[in-house]
Amino acid sequence: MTIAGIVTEWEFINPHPQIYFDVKTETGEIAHWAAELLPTPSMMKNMKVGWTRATLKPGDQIVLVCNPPRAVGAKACLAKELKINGKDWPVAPGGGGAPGAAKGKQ
Amino acid sequence: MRWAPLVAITAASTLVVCGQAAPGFDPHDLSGHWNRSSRFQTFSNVWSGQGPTQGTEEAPFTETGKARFEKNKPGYGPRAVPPAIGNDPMGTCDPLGIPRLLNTEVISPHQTMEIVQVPGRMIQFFEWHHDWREIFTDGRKLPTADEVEPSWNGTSIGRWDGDVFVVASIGFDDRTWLDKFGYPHSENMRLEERYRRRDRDTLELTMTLTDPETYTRPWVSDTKIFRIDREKSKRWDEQIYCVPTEEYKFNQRVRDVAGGKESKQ
Repeated sequence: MTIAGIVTEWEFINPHPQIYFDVKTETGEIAHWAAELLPTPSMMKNMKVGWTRATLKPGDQIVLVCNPPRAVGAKACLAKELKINGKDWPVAPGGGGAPGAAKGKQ
Repeated sequence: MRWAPLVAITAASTLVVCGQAAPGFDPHDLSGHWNRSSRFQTFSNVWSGQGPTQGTEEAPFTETGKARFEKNKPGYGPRAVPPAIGNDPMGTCDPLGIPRLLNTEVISPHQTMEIVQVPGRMIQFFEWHHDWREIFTDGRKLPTADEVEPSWNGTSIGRWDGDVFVVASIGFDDRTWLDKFGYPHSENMRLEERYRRRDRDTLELTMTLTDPETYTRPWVSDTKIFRIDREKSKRWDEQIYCVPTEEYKFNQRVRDVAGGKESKQ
């Protein structure tokens, strides 16, 4: 599933970093979502693409490709791909590429 | 660490390595960082486990053992439930204990244990939780169950049986699971671990648990295989603690939400 939203909070913590974000629904309401990233913070630092506690900040626009939650209608997912303010950011070690690199190179 | 000499010849003023003997190793030196390379992250490759079932069987439960097994709700394996409604001790940062720590079940690169040998003790350090365990090798006897309080990692002594390092343990806290599939044990479990350094880079471990309250006969694990990781000690410590306050927050805001519980965001 692909979902877009506005970041409200970024937790760069063990065991898995988390993004909290707001999604505008078709009816114009705001839905609060959460996404988990699989690597640990140190693994993400070792990717050497710029992951830090300050990589995301409230107000950033994100687009996520996620594994959908197990429960139907739940607003939490596991992130597989991430775009921050229009730039791709690798979310898995070995993905390679710097932020903004073409999707096919990640 | 002993090293066998390289076999080399000199020809036309050029050193040519025409054959290389397998590097030597001390079978009584188990020190180093070891990463699990065998497939199974559970105590044993039971029939309900991951992958092939050939040559395997379900745990030999007693009635009590089976009842306790049914009460455990794992997030992995054929009985997996969404973690939000499970009761895996890992989900609340409770200690994993022995033998679950030995399964090194946490995903790469965290499926590591380091063994350090010092006079009178062998110490195992586990990446997950930054947990550690002492195995006394000073010749003391294993205490009786009445002499020790149950503990997460038990009470252990070790000795060499030829090239096999044999660890005997008692006194386990029965709140821990044997593995991520939720297999139980009682406080009266006795555990024997047999470690053998197969070669310079490979360590084998086979475990046998005896727990008549939970299993009708001694239950033997599959053979765990670990490969040495010489790069690990060169990297900065990751400090993969499970922090209860962070886990609690994660459970409320992500795990429970994904599992269909009311949003706490």
